Amino acid sequence: MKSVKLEVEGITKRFGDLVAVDNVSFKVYEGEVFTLLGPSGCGKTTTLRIISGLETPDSGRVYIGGRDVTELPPQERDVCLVFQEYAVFPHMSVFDNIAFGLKVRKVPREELTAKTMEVAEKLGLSELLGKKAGGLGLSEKQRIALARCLAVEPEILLLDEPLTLADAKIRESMRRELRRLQRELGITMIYVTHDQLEAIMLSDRIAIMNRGKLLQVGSPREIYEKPETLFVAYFIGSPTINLVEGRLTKVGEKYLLTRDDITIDVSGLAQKFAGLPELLDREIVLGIRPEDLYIAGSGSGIFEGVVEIIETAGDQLVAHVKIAKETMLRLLIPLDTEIRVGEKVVVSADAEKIHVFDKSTEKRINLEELHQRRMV
Amino acid sequence: MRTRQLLLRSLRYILIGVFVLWILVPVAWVVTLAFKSYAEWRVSYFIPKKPTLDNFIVLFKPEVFTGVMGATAIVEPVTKPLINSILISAFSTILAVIIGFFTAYGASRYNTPGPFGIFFTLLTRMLPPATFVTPIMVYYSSLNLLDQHFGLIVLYSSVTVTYGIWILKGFIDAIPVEWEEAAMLEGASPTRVLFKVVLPLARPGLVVSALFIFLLNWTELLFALVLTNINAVTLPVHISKYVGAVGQLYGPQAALALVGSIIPVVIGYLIQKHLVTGFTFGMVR
Repeated sequence: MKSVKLEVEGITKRFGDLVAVDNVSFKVYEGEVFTLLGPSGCGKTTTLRIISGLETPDSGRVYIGGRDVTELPPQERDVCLVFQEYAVFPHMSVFDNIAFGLKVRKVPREELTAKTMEVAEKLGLSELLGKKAGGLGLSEKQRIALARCLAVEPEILLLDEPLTLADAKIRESMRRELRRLQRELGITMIYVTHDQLEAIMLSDRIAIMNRGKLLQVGSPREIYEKPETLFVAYFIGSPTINLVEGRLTKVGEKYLLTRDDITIDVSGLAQKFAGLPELLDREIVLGIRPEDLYIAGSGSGIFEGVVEIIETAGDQLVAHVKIAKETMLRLLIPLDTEIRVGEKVVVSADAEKIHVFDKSTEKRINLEELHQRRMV
Repeated sequence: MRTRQLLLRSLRYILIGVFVLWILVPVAWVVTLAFKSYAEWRVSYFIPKKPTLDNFIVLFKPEVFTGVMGATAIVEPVTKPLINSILISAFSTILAVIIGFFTAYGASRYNTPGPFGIFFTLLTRMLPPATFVTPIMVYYSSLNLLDQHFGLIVLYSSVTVTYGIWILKGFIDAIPVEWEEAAMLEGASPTRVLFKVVLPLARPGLVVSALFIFLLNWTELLFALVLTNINAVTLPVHISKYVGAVGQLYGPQAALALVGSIIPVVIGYLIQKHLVTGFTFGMVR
């Protein structure tokens, strides 16, 4: 088991009436990339700033390497932060930027030069050392900011949306570069982003936040396959997950999902619901990812509907199928699927990949667990 | 349409021309007057018929030309007031900029004197100086600060520090706080952050406010007139002393005005690179 590098214990931070961070706890292990993911204003940056010491929490504790640092100023925490706009000192040369932290630590001259050169080399900045940092481009600034942090070998490297300023192409190469460096140096990294794709590609584990609350922590795969709340299900994945809501009832052998005057026959999921009377007469939401849905032969599907729109999404198609009044499903299907707008189709999915949520609590209803409890 | 544009454009140039003349003619008049002989001081033409350096010489050797210019009292040589002005203006400028910088930093980053506190510093500039010149004279008299360099330095710097605070606050506000935070996370102490990050980035602001304050101090007349007599007399006061039996001694006054503008012009020339960045008010990125 890897050792715990950072532990955040029940931190809360208010700005006036706004609760920016609401009782958030998590652990980060040595050498992993841990991402705080969420929409803007969800409290991820504030959490990062609390870890760095730039903000003090109203309550809760922060431990770095087992040491309680809650009361310590940023200077004494041994963490480094790469800012969204990099915050490279514009009036200093690239060399002085990278060496800044070493100078503060009164590292002897030769060692300082050697270390600075080494880090600059690693980030491809050797040729720019004599230049003033202010006039350089974004990707250089980003590398300088990273080099400045790496030079002081912090316990934890914090990054606040470091790729949002770059355009799509550069972003991709920067992301790869970042991941390569992290692997090479084995540094513990906490990464903040609102981009779910970036989080999935970069992280060992992801923490999803919304409105100051930590909703779920897990590997990208766990979060994708077992979203604990509706928000997580909706936030992860592109195109976004299909949500079908209604009250589940059983009429004869048929399972029906009704809301207002809309009724959808979900008997195709009978096996999933069978033997769980606690699900009946309950407002639920079915979550089905577009990539899990497919067009089935007649008779063997879950939903029936009419194709309304077909869009091309790169090497795949997105088909919008109307399965009931005001109820559309998006399907991500192979490009060569032969369907036409207006055609009647049968839509199916692996029953195990259909997520069930309670509508009022917005939490996942864990069917396997319910089944197991039945059997005992 | 084209003629209309042409008309508007020529109108603009005419207006600019009038404005430039309005400013430059008096300056030019002072320049030529400084080289005119006593006989030509009150004439209505620009170029002196017999250019002379008498007006400049009299500044430094007053006894030579007393008879020629009809002065009844011998005015002291300009050397001492010149040195006084340089010393007093320079020291009070340095003080005002230093105090202004730290106050502005506190106001910008920590909101120290509070929103009203920082505004309060402006209040001292809302009264005409003439209203408090008398009480200050009384204080200074009992503090033995009358006709002392130190007295003027204290007064000038405390009056002009307001400008220092407000100009520098604009500049410091424009420096992203992330730069300071980044330095803190690198382990730099608050003092180090201030001197290694904020101070160099605020340099155009320091230069602009210093020049502005220096000019105010350099040209101040009222307080200097009331609070000095012999020892700490400054240039503006000295100018007013060139009065003879026949009235104002225009020639030496003009000559002294020229001498007095050399220093600000030279300073302005030396720092013009910073002035460009400075007057765009903190576009430091």
